Amino acid sequence: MKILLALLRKDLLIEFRTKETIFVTIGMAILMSAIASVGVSAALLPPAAVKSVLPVLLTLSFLLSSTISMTRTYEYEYQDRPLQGLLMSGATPQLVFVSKFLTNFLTMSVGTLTTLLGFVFFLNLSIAQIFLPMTFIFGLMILGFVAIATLIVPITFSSRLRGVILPLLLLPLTFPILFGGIEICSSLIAGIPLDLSSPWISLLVGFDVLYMAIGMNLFDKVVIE
Amino acid sequence: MKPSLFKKAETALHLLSIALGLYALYLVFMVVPNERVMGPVQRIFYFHVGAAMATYCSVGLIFLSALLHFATRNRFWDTLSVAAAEVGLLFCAVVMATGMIWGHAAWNTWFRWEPRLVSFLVLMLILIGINLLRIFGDKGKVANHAAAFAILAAVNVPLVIWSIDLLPQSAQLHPKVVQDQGLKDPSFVKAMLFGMLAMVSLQFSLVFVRTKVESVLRLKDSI
Amino acid sequence: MEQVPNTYQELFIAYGALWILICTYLWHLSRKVDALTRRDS
Repeated sequence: MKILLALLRKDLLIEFRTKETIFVTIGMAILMSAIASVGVSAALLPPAAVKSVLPVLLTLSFLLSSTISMTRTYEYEYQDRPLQGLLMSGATPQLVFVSKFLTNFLTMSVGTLTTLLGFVFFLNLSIAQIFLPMTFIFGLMILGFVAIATLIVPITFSSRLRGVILPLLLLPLTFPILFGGIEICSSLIAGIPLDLSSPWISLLVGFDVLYMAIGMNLFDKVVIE
Repeated sequence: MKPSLFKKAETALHLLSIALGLYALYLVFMVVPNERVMGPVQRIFYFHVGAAMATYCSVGLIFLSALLHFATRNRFWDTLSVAAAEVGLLFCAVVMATGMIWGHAAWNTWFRWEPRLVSFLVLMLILIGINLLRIFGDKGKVANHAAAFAILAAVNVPLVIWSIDLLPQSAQLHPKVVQDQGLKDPSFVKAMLFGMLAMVSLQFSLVFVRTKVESVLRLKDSI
Repeated sequence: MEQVPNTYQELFIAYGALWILICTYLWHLSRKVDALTRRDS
């Protein structure tokens, strides 16, 4: 537990001191919400239609900003190989994975929340009644996405194409999570209350648990040289 | 395994592919009657389903070789994984192509965003990803990376297979042919079975030859 | 009403020939690899 807290402290300190990832995520969030709003208003969509495309817009913005910013979290681990030093010092690969996962989850959550607020502000949406269930569902989506991304980013880092190959590898694997999340959010917006026994929730939670378990177990195979 | 026995097994595999394929084609074109609703275009179904089975077999092979690669560190499993990934992508593309042809001919839709079709498309994208990783990955680490990715890819296959049963019916277009007893004539079932066997045996032949070629290439690189 | 045939002999022969061609070519490739490795060793 002490090692995990130390690793978490290290990762969070890097994030807060450099502020790279958080600025990129928030910047992308505002940019994406502004651009999407311009597109939506140019299409002259009625307010109900705007509200119904919100889950998709939010997911696309989240995917774009996270794919760009996630590679930054590994830059420091690969210059002069401090990750190898960490693993030799007594931190197990599973703990390193959990600490990276928690840091990325925090950053992505902040980014997605900013995007959501950006959309609410720019598109004049009223989602007060469904705000909490929607953030819960997006929290679950980010959980699964970050679990898989924390495993895939080191894989792509050592390849020649690096940032280019990351979306190609990452996005198909996140489809079940995105599919489930978007379906539930769409039904929330349509007025159907959140039903925890829905098959879409089972799909989302099932894949979250699966990806976290696989990520923790395979992380050492991927990073140890 | 003795070399002579190995060669005999290989010959048997190739002959089996030829025999099963010819018999399946005979059943499909000479025995089964036209389907009541869709007519002759329904015959593509026998190879569409067969190719889907071959894709699942390939993904199963990739998954198995990934697990054995991590367990034994024997280089053969990585070689097998390369072959299975390429062949899997080939059969996945065949499924998508035949599915689109059948869909357009029968229901006038090339593609629809419903669970089974989307999850198969995602499987194809994942297989493309595995192959890209093999091409562009770091040569020293690609074996481990590809094996980790293969395990992640394999967990998506149950979703593809059971998306029809698990997810809401309102979202479905893909026919639940076998489960809803759509195959009334017993010759339909026989043709489907042999179509599957023919495609799977072709898949094994392809994987076999590709594994051989890959191991020779690796031998050449290591000299 | 136009009678749709139930059997397609020409298609069977055409696809059968294609199938034999593919499988035989695979076999031929495999034997070529064997010959290459025999020559190298």
